[in-house]
Amino acid sequence: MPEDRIVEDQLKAMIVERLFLNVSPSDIADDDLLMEKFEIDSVRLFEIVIGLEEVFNISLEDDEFSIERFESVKAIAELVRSKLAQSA
Amino acid sequence: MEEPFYFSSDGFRLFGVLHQPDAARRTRHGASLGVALCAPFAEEQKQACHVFVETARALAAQGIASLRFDYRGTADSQGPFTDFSLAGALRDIAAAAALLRERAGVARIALLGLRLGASLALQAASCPPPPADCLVLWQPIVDGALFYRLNIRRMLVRQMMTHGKATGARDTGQADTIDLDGFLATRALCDEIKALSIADSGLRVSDRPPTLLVQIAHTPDPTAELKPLLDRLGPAARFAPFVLEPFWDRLGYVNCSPLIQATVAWLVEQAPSAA
Repeated sequence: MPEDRIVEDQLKAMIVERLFLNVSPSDIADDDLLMEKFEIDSVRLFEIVIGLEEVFNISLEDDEFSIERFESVKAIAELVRSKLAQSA
Repeated sequence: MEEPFYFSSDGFRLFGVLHQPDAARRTRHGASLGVALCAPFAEEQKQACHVFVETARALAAQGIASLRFDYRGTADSQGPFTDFSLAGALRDIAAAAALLRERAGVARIALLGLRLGASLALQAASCPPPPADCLVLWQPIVDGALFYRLNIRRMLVRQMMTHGKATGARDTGQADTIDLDGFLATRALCDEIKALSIADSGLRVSDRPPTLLVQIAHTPDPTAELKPLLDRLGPAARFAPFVLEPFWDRLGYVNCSPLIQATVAWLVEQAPSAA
């Protein structure tokens, strides 16, 4: 269903915008390993964290900072959905 | 000419570099305006250093003197980082402005600050006697509590990249100091930062010098962070948005030439002609 894609689409748009990537959001596959494909270092990952907290109005707990949660759009989307469900 | 030296502020030896234009470039406005560059906080200062150097050299090329300096407890200035405080940094800015006025022989002073340095420059402008005749604020920190939280976030992300997961902020609520991403900050400094709210600062409209408010972000529209300050500054401020990567938070090179050129052009406008 289209609404199921909203989180992934917003994430891809946010990543492209905040990291100033020269790709279209649609060029990012859900399973792409972000750090390998887009050479994301710690400061760019920091930008993603800040971006998703702002865009989705969520706040990550310290124990949610684990690398597997940020390895792909799919993983990040799962984290976002989990946080949104908690706050609902 | 670039002259490194030490000067005093409250008994602290501060490191500074005075950028003086060549005599041939010391034009009418160059003799009237000097620019004190107010550095950002901790890790951001390291990443932004080259942009400050480029800016100082661009100013000198336009005949304008400038002073880069390190606050007490930071970089090459005297003292450990635990000596750094916002109150102390404000006094350092005042000392730097006074020294620039004397050494460069300029009649007017501009404060150019980045991030926390911009917030301090704005605050310094409200301290009597005001050390500045005009302000350039590059992406100031408006909400200190949010800025503090971002510093903790940055540390957690670095821990995650190193260890696979965050090992935790070292803010136990017990220690006298906090590891802020490698910088040992006093609890008093953290409290100062968290209390910072420059949109609510006591600057009166009549006190505000001409101000260039620069937004550096992924969008040209005023961000939620800067909008309250923009509204507060009112018509005394010119808003200049730059769609530019946050160079103070990047490992790689970011071309800041458009930002520097626009800033220098605005400062030249602020320099009164001696004629």
